[in-house]
Formats: sequence, C-alpha cells, structure tokens
Amino acid sequence: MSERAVLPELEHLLVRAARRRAAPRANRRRWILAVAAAGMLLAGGAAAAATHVFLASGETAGGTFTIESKRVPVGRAAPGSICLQLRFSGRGTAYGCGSRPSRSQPFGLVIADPLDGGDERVVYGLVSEAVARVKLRSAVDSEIEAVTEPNEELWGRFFSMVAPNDGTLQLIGYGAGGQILARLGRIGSTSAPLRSKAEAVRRGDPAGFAPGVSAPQSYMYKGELIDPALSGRLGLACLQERAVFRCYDSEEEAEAAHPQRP
Amino acid sequence: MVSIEPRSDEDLLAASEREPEAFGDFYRRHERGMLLFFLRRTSSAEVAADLTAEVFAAALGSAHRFRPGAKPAAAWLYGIANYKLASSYRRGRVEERARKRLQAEPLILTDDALERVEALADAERARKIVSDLLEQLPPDQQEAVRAHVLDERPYKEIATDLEISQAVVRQRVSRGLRSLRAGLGEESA
Repeated sequence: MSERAVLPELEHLLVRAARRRAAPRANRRRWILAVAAAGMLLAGGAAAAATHVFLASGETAGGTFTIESKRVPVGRAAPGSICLQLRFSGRGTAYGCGSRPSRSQPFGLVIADPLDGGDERVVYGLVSEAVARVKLRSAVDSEIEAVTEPNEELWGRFFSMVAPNDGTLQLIGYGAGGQILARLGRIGSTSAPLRSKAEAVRRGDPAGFAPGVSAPQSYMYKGELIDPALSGRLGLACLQERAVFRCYDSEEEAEAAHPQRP
Repeated sequence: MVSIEPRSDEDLLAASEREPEAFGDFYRRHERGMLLFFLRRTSSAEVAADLTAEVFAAALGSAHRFRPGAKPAAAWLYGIANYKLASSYRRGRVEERARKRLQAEPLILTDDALERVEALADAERARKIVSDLLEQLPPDQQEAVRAHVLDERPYKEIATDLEISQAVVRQRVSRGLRSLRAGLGEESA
C-alpha cells in the first residue's frame, strides 16, 4: 500500500475531489421517510403554491431534496389523479401526476426525477397496500431497495430512493412474504416507457405498467434545447412533461402556462 | 506483535466517502494494473493515463453505490474500465464525463509523467520476456533463479530448503542466468 503511484498527480486530484465530496456529506441524512401524501407522469413545476404535504427528504451528491404531495393542476391530469412533487436545491420543483395504485395495478404514480442531470436521480411513487418493499434494478448493475411506508392521507404506500441516473430501470414490488407482486419497466429496453397495461403485455411484461418510470433528459427553454445546468444557473422554473422538461423564467410564468385545479 | 491486515478493496471503497485518503489507497493499489490494462489495449501512454483518470473518477463518483458481495471491487472497477474503453472507441475520444461530474481539475500530463507510464509499459514487457524465458529453463534452475534473483533469498536459506549444498544452488543460479542472458540476447537481436 505504501508503493508510490506512477501518476501521483492523478492520485492527488482524486483525493482532492474525494475531500470535496466528503465535506458536505459529513452529516448526511440518508432518508427520512415521513410519509403523508401522493398518480401518470405529466408535468413538473417550479411552483409550490398549492396545498401540499411533506413526504420525505434526502440528499444526493448534487444537493438536498424534499418530496411532497401536490394539488392536481387543471386540465393536465385525468380526474382522480394524484400528484407528487420534488423540490431540489438549486433547481426548484418538478412534479408528476398519475393514477392511484390498486390491487390490479400495484404500481401507481412513479416518478424518476433526473434532478439537474447529475449522476443520480430520485425515484419515488405510490404502490398498493400489499407492496411491502420495492427493489430497483438499473442497467448499471446495481440494486437498491426501499421499504414502503403507509400513509392515512394517501392511497397506498409511499416509497422513494436515490438511484444511478444511467439507462433504463426496473422496479419490482414485493409483498410482506417476499413474493413478487408487480414489475414496472424493463432493463435494457431502448424503447419509450410503457404507457398502458396493454402495451406492457404486448412487450411481454404482463405485470408491468409504467406510465412514467423513465424521466426526460432534455430541457426546453423558449423553444430550444438547453443544457440542464443552464436551467439551474438561470434559476428557471421547469415543468416535467413526458418527453422533456419545459422551462420558464419564473414560477408565475410556469403556473400561468399550467394552471392548477382549485 | 500486532499485525495489521491490509484493508480490503471493499473496505476502502466504503470508507472513501468519509475518509478521502482511503480512495487514494484504493487508487494506488489498482493504478499500475489499470494503466497496463489500457496500455495493452491502446498502445498509447497518453490515452492510457487519460482513461485511467476517467475510470477512477467514475469509481469515486459511484463508490457509494458499490454493494459489497455482489462482485469483488476489482471486478467492478474493471467493469467500469471496459465500459469506458468501449465508449471511447465508439466516440473516437476519451470521455470526460466522470471527471466533469466530480469537478476534478484536469490531469496535466507532463513529459515526465508520460515517461513514467511508458517506463511501466517497458518494465511490463521486460517482465513478460523474462517470465517467458524463465519458463523455458529446467525446473531446478528455474526454482533457484526465482528464489535467489526474484525473491532475493540468500544461497544458504535456499540450500537448506532444497536440502542441497550451497555450491549446487550457486551453480544452478549461474547456469540459469547464463541461459537467460543468452535468451535476452536473442530477443533483442
């Protein structure tokens, strides 16, 4: 171990980078799941004007985040939908709306938020009461598990986890006895996310229904694609749609473009 | 006497999040192997150094996601190396993504640094040649040369181990080295 490196200059750069990473992580809270609220990935938004209930908070290498329930925006989601939003330091808020979980569809709304395009994303959502834990498998050969949490104000149970922001992912829902109850998404698939149960069956995954398991990676601002980092630097308010984040100059402008249900 | 077991690769990776120097130890342990891995595949000291920097930056960036038990840390590291190499072939250049994510300063490759990497490649080539030639020696000479020259053990100790006289050990080492010199002469001719 005491052998000198061939490239000590590279060792110094790496250790220095490791120090920078270690500093803000010293008092890292991994996950504090305080579940309260939470359905098709539709839109995200910068606004937190609506009534919302705190669900969870945590940290990634890029910053801290909180997850809350959110009022359903007018005209942007089907009646009976449910919305969740994630507030990420330096970026603002992005939200998604979708269906509630049920016995026949154990995975309800699931959102994979790519945050600021860094190497991590937050995957969170709702599952039916029967799902005790959720395992995430990703294309980069990693597995992460989260225990689901019940909440009286929500339909079903809430889960969240930080995952590698790399490639497609698959979620597997397990019952309390360890049996597989549902799968969502497929690893290695280059096609678009599943949009319906029928599409999942056609693709050979009868248990899967993934309205929003793959988050968009592109950011649009004034009709043009922009670097995700630019949205953070300019403090833009970005709404998450199925294929793209749509960014506005202010939360007011974003809210005006996507009015909410009272 | 207290003996301290070296920390495993897995321990070093797990510790690197709160103990940055642990990643330095992990780097030093695998740096030569990684440089040689890329040198054999790219034949370029500069590209090998650049790819090595990118691989270790990626490893540092995702060390917290490494799960011990699934596979050894070295296999995980070389998995990243294979991915980065394939990706570089595809793009026609070495990726910088992991280093940018880490906001790591760029690695400035001085002539001196490149010479050290090339020297590593030369040493590896020489080691391979000597190793091949050693394999061709009669077993008794091979054993004596390895023990005295490579392992630096004294004649007396080797003689005791093999239950032969020191003079016989000296003779075997001498004959073995003569054959190696002759073989090296043919290699360089």
